[in-house]
Amino acid sequence: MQTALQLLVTTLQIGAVYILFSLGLTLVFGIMRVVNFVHGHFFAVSALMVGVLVPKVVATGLTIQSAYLIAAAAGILVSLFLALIVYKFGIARFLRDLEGGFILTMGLALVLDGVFLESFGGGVRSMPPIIEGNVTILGAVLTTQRLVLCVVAALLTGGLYWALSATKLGKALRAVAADHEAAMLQGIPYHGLALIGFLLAALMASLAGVLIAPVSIVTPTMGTDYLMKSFVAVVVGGMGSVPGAIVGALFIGVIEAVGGYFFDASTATIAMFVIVIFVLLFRPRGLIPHA
Amino acid sequence: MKSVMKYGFLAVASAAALAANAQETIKFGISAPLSGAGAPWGKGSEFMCKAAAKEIKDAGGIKVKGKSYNVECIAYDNKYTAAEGTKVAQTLLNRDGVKYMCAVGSAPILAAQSLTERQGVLLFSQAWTKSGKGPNFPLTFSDIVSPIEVVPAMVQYVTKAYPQAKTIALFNVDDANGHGAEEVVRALWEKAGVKVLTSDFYVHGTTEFQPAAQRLAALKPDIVDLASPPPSVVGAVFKELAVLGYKGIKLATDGTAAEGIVATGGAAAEGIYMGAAMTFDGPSVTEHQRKLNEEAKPLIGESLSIATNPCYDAVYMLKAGAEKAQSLEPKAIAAIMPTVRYKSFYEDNVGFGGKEAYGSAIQPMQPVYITQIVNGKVVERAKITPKY
Repeated sequence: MQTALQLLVTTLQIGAVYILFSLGLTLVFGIMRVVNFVHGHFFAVSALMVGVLVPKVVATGLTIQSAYLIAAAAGILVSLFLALIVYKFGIARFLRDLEGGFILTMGLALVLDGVFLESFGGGVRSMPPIIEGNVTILGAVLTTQRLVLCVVAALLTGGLYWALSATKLGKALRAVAADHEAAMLQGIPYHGLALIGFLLAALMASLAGVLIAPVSIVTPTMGTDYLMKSFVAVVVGGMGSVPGAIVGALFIGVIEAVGGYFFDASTATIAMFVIVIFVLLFRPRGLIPHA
Repeated sequence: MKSVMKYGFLAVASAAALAANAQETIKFGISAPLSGAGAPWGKGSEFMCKAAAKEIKDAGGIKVKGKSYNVECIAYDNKYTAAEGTKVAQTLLNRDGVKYMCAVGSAPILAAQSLTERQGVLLFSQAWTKSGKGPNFPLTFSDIVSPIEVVPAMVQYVTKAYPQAKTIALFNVDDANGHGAEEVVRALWEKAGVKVLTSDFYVHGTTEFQPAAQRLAALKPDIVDLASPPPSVVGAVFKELAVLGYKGIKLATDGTAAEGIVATGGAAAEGIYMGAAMTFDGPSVTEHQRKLNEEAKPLIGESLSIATNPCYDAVYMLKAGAEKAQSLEPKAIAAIMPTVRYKSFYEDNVGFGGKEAYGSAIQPMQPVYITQIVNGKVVERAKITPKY
């Protein structure tokens, strides 16, 4: 029972970050039909900024928590600024162009890899814990920091889901994702919404980045690792589908936690990609297809 | 007339001095991880190659047939993968035209080796495995101690210090490095009468180690050995194990430095034994070692270690081989290499051995340091020079 609970808690922790990451990825695909290989860089740059700034701000005499909040805000701003540049000078010219967008973002990802390596160095960024201590939930142990991460990620996911379901902007985004021409005929400004959708996706990635920074290994290449798994989540859930991304991300969390426990981490990773093959064979549009 | 003669003499003297100082340059390639978790090893390798090159330049260069040669280190990022290792080797060999190179990471090394042996390039291998070394690879020389030398020393030390320890769980990276290490580690622990409860692997790029730690902790081993993961992963795994209440013996046989482990492991790094780190505080440390370490630390983010120093030794191996062979031809240098003695970062006058283990004398006879992280610093527990 205790093992099962621990695995459940682990699944939720891992899944929470993948949800935030995957939501942005699926949103961009749904609205723009662009497979965004730069998404991982929005995630990585915010985490890197946290890794760089927290020790510097702490050195000025502020508490670690204040330093983290300042660094997180700076990381999110840098990530959004990067997203704005990528959109204005790149993505905007390749809206709903699957092949063009694919090549563009792939190229941009390589360029940004180099820029990040030059700017941040290739090494691992160390960070002291933001919140000390462990908590025990029905026998399952986890750090307080991870619990907070999990709760914040769940709240953000819930907030985004609500925003997409209930607000005027969310409905417009969903309408554009479903049929952008029909939406434009109804007077919805597609290009303006595409920019908002792209920035919203980058915001999700950057939030995931600042949340994971204190508990993970922060390097300039960390975005690529999350991108690969989040692609799996999005493909399993259904490209462009918001509920699909959530289900897919939780699915990745289950495979990593349960597969990693009963077999090993390497087998769990292989299993993840094998399952994607089966999903693509039998449900090529994913478990919860995009409308 | 007098002043004309004076200036003429000065001009001739300057030209002669310039000619005497004119040294040709030997390109020395480095294939190493300059990004990701293995970056400290790659950056350290580049730093150490340049340090050796500078020392050799200051001492008059590599002297072959009356000419002096300087060394230029050219490094590219192999990202610790075979695919990138192949690209880097192609660039170094075919574009830069290097005839000598050192490489870091078993997978990229094996990838590079398919080119170096065929194209007659001398390869100094930092492979943490036995594969790719021996008589079938006449142009390849090891520049690092490997699990074949480190693990017996570690097993000997731990079994003596903790005779009550009867079980062990192993955790390795799923690549040539990890599998090579696991083969040696598992066999030696079993031979020492310690039961191996599990031997798990993870793939590069894994960022979440909680499930792996949960699995290891559930087995309740007396010892957990992370025999091949890089420092940041070692720290992350032991941190998760600490959260789950693990209080057993912690080993990182391939552990290279405290800083990288402490960076991700925090307090959980305390007490970890390492087989590939060295201390720069003790009385046995030379001024030269201390100085290079101080210069390297800000650049690579951690102390120099067994994993960062091989390219330094490789440059000196090349110097010793070329000067003894009086040739810059890689094949001529390789033929004479097993008999040379070179200046190592660890000790002067180091030679090659290892015929029994590897099939030919390609292994440098360097010492193995068993160290432990105490109060965030590396403390030497034993120094053992392997017998070949």
